[in-house]
Amino acid sequence: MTTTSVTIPDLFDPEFLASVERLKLIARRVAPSGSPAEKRSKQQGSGMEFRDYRPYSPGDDIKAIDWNVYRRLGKVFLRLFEEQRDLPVYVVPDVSRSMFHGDVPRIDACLRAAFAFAAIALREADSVGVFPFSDTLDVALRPGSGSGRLLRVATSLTKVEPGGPTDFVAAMRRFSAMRLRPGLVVVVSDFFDRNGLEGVLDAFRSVQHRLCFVQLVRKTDAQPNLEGELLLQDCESGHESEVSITPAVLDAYRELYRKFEDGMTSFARKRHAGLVRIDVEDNVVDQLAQLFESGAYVL
Amino acid sequence: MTTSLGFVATLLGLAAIAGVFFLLHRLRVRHRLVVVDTTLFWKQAIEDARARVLVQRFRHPWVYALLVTIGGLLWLAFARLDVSARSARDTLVLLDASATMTSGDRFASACEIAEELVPSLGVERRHVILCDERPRTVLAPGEHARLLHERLVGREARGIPPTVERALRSWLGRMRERPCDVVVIGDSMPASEVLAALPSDVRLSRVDVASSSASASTRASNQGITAFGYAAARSGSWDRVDILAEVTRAGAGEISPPVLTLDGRALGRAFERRGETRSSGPDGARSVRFYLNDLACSGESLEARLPGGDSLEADDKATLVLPDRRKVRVAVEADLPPAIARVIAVDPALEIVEASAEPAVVIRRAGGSFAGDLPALELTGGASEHAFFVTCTEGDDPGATLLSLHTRLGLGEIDANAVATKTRRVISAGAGTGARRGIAVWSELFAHEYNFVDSRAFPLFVSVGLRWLAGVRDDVGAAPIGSVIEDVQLATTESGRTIRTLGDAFTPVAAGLYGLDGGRRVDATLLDPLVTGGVNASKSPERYGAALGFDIVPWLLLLAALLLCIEWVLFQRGRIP
Repeated sequence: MTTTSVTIPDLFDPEFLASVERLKLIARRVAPSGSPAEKRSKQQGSGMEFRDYRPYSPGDDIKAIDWNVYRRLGKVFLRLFEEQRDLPVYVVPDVSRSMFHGDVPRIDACLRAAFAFAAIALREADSVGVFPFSDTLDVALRPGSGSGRLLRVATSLTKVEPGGPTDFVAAMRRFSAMRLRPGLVVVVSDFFDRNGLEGVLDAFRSVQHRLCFVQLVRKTDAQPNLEGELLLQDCESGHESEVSITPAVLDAYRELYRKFEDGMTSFARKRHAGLVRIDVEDNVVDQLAQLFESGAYVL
Repeated sequence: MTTSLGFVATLLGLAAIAGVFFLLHRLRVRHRLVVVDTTLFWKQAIEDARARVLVQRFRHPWVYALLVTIGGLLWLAFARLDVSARSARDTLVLLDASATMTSGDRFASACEIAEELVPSLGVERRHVILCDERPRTVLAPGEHARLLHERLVGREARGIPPTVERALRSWLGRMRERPCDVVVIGDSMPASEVLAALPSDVRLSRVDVASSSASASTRASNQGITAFGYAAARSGSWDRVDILAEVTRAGAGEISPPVLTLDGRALGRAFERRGETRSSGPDGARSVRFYLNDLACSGESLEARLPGGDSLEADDKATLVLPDRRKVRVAVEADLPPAIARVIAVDPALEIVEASAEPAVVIRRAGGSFAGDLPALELTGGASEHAFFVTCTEGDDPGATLLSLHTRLGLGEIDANAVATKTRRVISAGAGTGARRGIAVWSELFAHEYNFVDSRAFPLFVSVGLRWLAGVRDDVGAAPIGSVIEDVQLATTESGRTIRTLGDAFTPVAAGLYGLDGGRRVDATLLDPLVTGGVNASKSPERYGAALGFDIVPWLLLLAALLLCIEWVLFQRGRIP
């Protein structure tokens, strides 16, 4: 078990940042609170972009009355503007032991993906918080925005330590208990929970935020290259299973993994959540671009 | 295709190997530790795979096949698989134990060769016969090869002529069912005419028995007595015989005359050398005959021994029992039928003496005391129950004695019906025991009206009867081993073993002195020119080594070793558990 090999200079690699520059978060609806930013809010008010008219009612701000309309129609209408507010982005990287296992640990890709999301959000003046989790959830960086925020995000990401086994239910319960402003929760994980897919889905059913799943995969996840008589040891729990790799067992494994992926896809679709699968052995940003259709990820 | 273990045992062994490997294969669990991100899917996959089948899937069939192949190859090598053309044939191994095998350790070497050869033969198709005086099976088809060693322990070659030919004839006539190879281990080979008459599907070969070079060279120049006997003296003296001895030498060198001893004492006379013949065989053996004339004989044992000696001792000595040609002194009571005296007068073995001149036998009327208490031929009156009555001494079997004398005395030649008709009495013969030997005969029979004294049996009756009464042994004298001696029911060896003959004929099969029924003796000697001349050793149509053919066992072992290496490599590479 090792810590991450990703350093701050790695994350601030110009090429990496340039590739992130092309990506953009676009939210259809933003929570009414928060600071003005580049996201359209449900709240109609003091923004710059005209949205609609509505009849005047007592108490309305008379500065919003469109007098030209009154002059033509003789009726008082208010001009409504769409208010631009920020979209809180909560980056939730998985730091369980499984993320640090293997010749190419998933944690490297995890941090790059998390940093990419943070960079995209901060570029658009959104607030970003970092909440690494394993069997619990920590607050590595509280939500905030600003020009120096990106360095703090990078610092917090490179300081993550391997945690315990993955427990989405416990982690998300703690996350919900924080009562954060509705925003976008970006979960970067392998989604290998000891309770299986049901444990993962149960954990996110109670989350009131928008969700975006970044599933870190390897080719051997779906097509394991194991053979022979094996004693498989779970890197998180230490549980050992004697397995005779036979065609039947391999077929059963592939079928189970396919169901797992289908379950994730189905859940994401139901929750209107984003889902992208990133091969940890390939370029992270290039694969994230699949999520950001035409350079923008529309929420 | 055969194996030394037999077809069934080999198959059972292969099945056992496959079964054992199958169990080991099922039991064999050697897990390689692999740390994975999660075992979540694997646990479920195992359960799902188990749920689909009733029994666990047979794992790694190629590994199992490899192991069974290796095990099978080793087992077949152990079972000495034979795929040569020889495997489809029976094999008869004839282990020569004749005289030529007595030199040095040649017979032991022959036994070792046989014990090494037998395991390579199919267990159901091998037959080993020990060719001693009575060829006997020492390993029958189906018996374990180890029995051969046990049965050969204590066996040794003896001074006997070869019996290989006899064993071969017997086996071919009784037991041959398939094409066969006959392997002779030793020197002896059947006669050329026998070899020529072998069936076309019988191949005969011989295995040379290794011997020391000194022994071999000695055998090459072996000499021995190949004939030894006596005949009536050409001088006409009834109580003397002429002696013949033939000495044969296999190689170059002077042929020495035998030295004679009589009952263990030096005879003081030497043989006369007459002529030399050369064998027609390729061995070039030479024979010389030696004669000794007019040797007085009185039942002594005459031994001829070659001076010096060589590696083959069995033919260096020959013995015979000389006939007892001493005259039987007979006292004849007066007033007896004159025909008796006439027979005695013409028989050189008998002479009439006065009763006071220490006769050996007396002829008198029954009940008289003429000449005292001696074995007697007595003429009885008509009151006697039997026309002929034989009295033998204690220890003799009266019945057997009567049976023997019935022929020798010529009683069978008497026209008993005519005599019975004329005498109006039953003509019978009886026997009993007494203090001394005696023969009683009706005196009426000596009358000419009964035609007994005029029959051709009468001289025989008188002469043989008187000799039997005097205890003169009618020895055969000398007999080569394997010759037939007629009119013998029982024979006794020097060790006291009694041999009951078949068909009233006795054939001595080993050298030595034999006692025959009726008090006769015969000294059987090797006297075999083929053995002495080494003719048999040269009649080798084929050396067995060439007939051994392809031996697959080393290749089986090599292939098994190769597969083991492949398995090791695959194991090291983690391709097999």
